[in-house]
Amino acid sequence: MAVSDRDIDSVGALADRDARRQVWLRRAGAAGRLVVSVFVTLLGLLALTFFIGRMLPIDPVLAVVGDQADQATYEMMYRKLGLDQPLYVQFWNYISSVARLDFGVGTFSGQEVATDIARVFPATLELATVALLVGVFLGIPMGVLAAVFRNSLIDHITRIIGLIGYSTPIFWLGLMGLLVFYGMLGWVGGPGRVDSFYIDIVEPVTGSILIDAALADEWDIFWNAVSHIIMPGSILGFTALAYIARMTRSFMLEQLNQEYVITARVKGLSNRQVIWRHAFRNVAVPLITVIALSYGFLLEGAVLTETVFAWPGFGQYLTNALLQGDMNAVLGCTLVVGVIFIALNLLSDLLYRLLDPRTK
Amino acid sequence: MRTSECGKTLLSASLAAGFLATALVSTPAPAKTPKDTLVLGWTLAIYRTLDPADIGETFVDEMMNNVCDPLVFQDYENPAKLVPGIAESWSVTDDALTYTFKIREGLTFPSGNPVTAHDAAWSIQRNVKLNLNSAVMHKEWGFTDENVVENVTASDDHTLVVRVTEPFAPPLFLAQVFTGRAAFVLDRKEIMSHEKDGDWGNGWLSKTSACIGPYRVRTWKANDVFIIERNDDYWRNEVKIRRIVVRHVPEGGAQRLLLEKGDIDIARNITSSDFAAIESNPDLVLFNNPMHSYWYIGLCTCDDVLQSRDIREAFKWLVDYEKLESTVMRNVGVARQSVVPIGAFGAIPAEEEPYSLDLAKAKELIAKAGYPDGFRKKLIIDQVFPFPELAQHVQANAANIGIELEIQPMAAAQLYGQFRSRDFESGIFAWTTGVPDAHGMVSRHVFNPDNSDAFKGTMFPAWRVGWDVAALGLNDKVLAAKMETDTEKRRRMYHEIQRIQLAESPFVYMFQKIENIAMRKEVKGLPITSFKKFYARAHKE
Repeated sequence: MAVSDRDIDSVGALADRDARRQVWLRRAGAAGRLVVSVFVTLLGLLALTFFIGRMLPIDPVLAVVGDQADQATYEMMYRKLGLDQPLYVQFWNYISSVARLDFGVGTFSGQEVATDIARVFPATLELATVALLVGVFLGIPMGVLAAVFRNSLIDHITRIIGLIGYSTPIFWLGLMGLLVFYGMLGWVGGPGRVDSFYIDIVEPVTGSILIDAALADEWDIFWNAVSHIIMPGSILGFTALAYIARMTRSFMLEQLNQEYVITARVKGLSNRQVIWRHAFRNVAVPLITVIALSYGFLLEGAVLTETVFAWPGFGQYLTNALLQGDMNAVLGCTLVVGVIFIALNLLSDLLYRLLDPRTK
Repeated sequence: MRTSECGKTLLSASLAAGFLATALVSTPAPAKTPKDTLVLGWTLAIYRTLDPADIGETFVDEMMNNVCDPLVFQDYENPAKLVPGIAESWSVTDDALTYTFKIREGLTFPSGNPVTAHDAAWSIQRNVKLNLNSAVMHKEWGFTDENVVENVTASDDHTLVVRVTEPFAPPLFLAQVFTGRAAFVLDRKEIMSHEKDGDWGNGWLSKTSACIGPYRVRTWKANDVFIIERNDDYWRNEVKIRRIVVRHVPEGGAQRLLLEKGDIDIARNITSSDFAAIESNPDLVLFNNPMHSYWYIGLCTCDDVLQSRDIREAFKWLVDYEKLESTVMRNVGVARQSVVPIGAFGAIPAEEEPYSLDLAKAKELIAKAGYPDGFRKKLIIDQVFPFPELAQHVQANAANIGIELEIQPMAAAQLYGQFRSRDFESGIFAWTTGVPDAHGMVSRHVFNPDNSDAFKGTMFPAWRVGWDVAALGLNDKVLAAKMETDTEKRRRMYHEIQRIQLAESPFVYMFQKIENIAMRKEVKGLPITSFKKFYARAHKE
């Protein structure tokens, strides 16, 4: 039987389609596994937090009714909070509500947890992003220079800065920063996101005061907000810087001792090309993990920095919720932190693939 | 050239840092607070609701007292004196069983609804029916879910009639029931238009205000900011401050810096380490305002050792009241051993308080109780100042006579959970009362209707420590004072109760709290009492 070109084309098209289907199926399978694993991770996280939270000796009812309430009022609130139900029923009720995107009401703020988090998280996101920018844009060059000029003055300075960043209590650092740059020099704004004069003027759209002020064309408020964020952002960024610079130095030292670097030098490449085009490109991949982790920790909320700088962020919110035994708020925050870390991990995986062809 | 190229990189980094520093320096100077705005720095970590029936936090209570007027005011210069509020006058029948209030005519709520006696009656009924935080303020005086509608009525639009089941001392009853948040006159029609599932509008009112007062709520966000704005039609006086902004500044040092720079006008959480700097600053003023609040030790008589009267007395000789007052508690607390705070009606003078640090006497007492070599107990405390400091002081003195106290710091919600369930041996606690009358304290600390575990009288600290006050006849004495209409006789009755309390109680009252309020000198005319701050009277120069 003669086989025409058309038949061959059609068989080829079928094979192509089949291959595409296989790829699609493989990708769908991978996506499905990813969704299941994210779901199981978050559910596990919630279950663990829920049961540990319920075992804490803190009485959440007292946070609502106060110490002086009579027993009748106490018991009414106990039932209203669902604490008279068995633990597994309480957990099931909570999960059912979460499935309907209802995260409950925070007992210490009196607001929907979702509303609270939507309000406090942008404040932390804004602060963490500034801190990360400080950490990355100063930490990476410092780490590279320290590795290139190993045991030189630059290296010693970098290591001392790293040591200070690690070991100085951020609470003290924050207060000193405020005292010097706000109290004595008047270079920056004080605690809070803006001056009292500007509070409650800009309508929140994104929750980020910088973006919202820019969107509202309120540039006075924008610059005022810049003056307020620069100090806590730099203090927080300093700790990120210490970590990033140290890790960059360590990664770079390892790469600079590799044979391909010597080969590149022998080939007569300039020092800048050897460092940035060859050595640093190989450092970039592990560095992404370091940066992603730093960002994750910053987004969890830096409670001490937020406390000193009166920053109404996620860290303070979560800490208050824990101290008051406000489990709805704690669980809501846990979910957010879980999602952040999962998202950052996925993002690092994606960037790995972009930067390192071997992982494709 | 390796070095020069890297030097360029270094130069770039330096330029970037320089740019950052320039941006830092070139940012605009912070704006100071406007003249018609009062800005407070305060810790706003917890506030759940604005509904007067459910308020539990000091901060919200204080602010809402500037938003809603009660039937009767405590005078801002002398809280013991009652002056007309929404009720322009009142009368009491001779048998002290019926109170009639004449509601001021011509007042309207911000919604435009007229203020009537029906609103006043409904507000009290609502508070009792909802049975939330403030319900106890009425329930303690015999109002119940069953009788409140019948006993609190409006006979016409401007006459409120309140009947009580027992003849309480009228000044006491009026001060306790009609001056605080439980007596705010609420806008019935407006609130009920937002009622949901029979909640008496609680869900809606938890986020807004619907009453008549000098200010109205504009913005509130936990952990962030609380803003109230002037009610331009306020009936009582001209309000000069247009806007009050309360900023969440949890750190005392940061509050001081903001105050010094003029970015806030009043700091509410100044710590003792900052007092000297504030006092020496000519632009600032520091108020030390004695509160009707205590720090005290509670000894559970459910414990075999602590049930001994001698052991309990020994603890009272283990505190160096005088030295603590001049050191760690300087400007923070004033030594007070009586259950009735200084400044309250019926308080005994400080000279009648017998205790001081006397280790020999304490040692003698524990030996007499059968524990010459001492014993070991747990002392539960809150983890914030000054609980650890007081605990360490008592622990050190106790160790000198052989008592080993193991300090267990914990969060407040855990501490009071254990206290309320009698699940402790000893602890340091705090308590605040809401009226300038001995009754406020003795009705909880020297009154215990039933000492059995089954009774669960958790609202009475006397029950929490298992103190059988009935055996000493104290229940009857407290009730008798509550009913006594002769003021001098009632004062003497409270004196007697305090003397018994000093000798017998399982409570070691140590310090009456001093509230420290630092403000800029431009702020004038702000009346500050132990219970309320009247911002509507303040102005800035």
